[in-house]
Amino acid sequence: MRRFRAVLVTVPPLLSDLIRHVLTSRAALVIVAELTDRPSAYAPLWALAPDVIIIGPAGGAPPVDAALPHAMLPGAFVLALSADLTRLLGPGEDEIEAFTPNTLVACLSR
Amino acid sequence: MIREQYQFASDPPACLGILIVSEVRFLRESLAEILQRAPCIQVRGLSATLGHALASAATLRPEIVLLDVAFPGGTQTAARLCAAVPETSVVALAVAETEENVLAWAEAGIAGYVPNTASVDDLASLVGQISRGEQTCPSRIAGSLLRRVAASGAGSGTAMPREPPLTRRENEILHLVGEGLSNKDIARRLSISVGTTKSHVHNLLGKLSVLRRTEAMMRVHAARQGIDIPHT
Repeated sequence: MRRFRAVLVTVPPLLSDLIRHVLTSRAALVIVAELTDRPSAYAPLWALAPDVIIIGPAGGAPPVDAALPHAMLPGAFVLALSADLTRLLGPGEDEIEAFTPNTLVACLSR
Repeated sequence: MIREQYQFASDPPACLGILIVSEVRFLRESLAEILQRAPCIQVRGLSATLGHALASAATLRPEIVLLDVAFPGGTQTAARLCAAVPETSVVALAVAETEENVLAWAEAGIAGYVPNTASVDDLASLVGQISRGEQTCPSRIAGSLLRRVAASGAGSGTAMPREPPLTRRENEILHLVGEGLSNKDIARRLSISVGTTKSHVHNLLGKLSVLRRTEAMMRVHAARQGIDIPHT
């Protein structure tokens, strides 16, 4: 079975570890890279061409614009986490759900 | 709806009971999911607020409260939990291992911490170590802790007290407990609410490491025979 390839962008360390655990145990998905540097995130994303991109909160810095990875990689499933880590935004503009292990897995299983 | 609390009743009773405290629902639920896979850990509850955490700790009696360091109030929250449930070990989760930071959490009364560099894979074993009174930390942190302990004992020229000191109010209430007064009577005598009295009694029992009022009364009688009960 093909495992989907995911990249985490600017996701804090503990959270990325937890996301990795949840996704690898409950979804056919492997995290191939974690990008922590916001300004230089776009070039590796282009090169890696992942199936799934999960964008974390950016702290005080300008966040990665979820629309740009979506435009760069139209086939990729792009999700973003709200700044307070309570909501999962995307992949559609109006799609907002509570950020929980269940909703994350369900979202990626669609 | 946020599920703030649930129990895993099928786990064996000898397990280490844990209450997870974090504002972030994903963190609470995913940590519970990961920790309950460990053979000797029982996640007893999840709390998103301090009020819920205090109530849950009092009723669920976990051995460990795993507190997300990003929780509002930080070290003050840890201190409140430590004071409210002194028989429970508060463990700070994802502590940045700077000397100042670790000292601040240590002074809040935590039993141990999980560094922010630790992998979630190691979480269960780290929590297990802390529950046995062990803490793995860099040597520079251990050095800082030793210096802080030495500095705090330098003025008195005595060893560290065995128990945290009682406040004047707690001492006052302890002596009324010693006279056999009920919480209601103490509240009336001191013109405070019964709830406040209960809270003081709970705290002083914890500080004296006793479970019952009768044991506290015995301590009062011992004190009256010349054994000093420390107070701040």
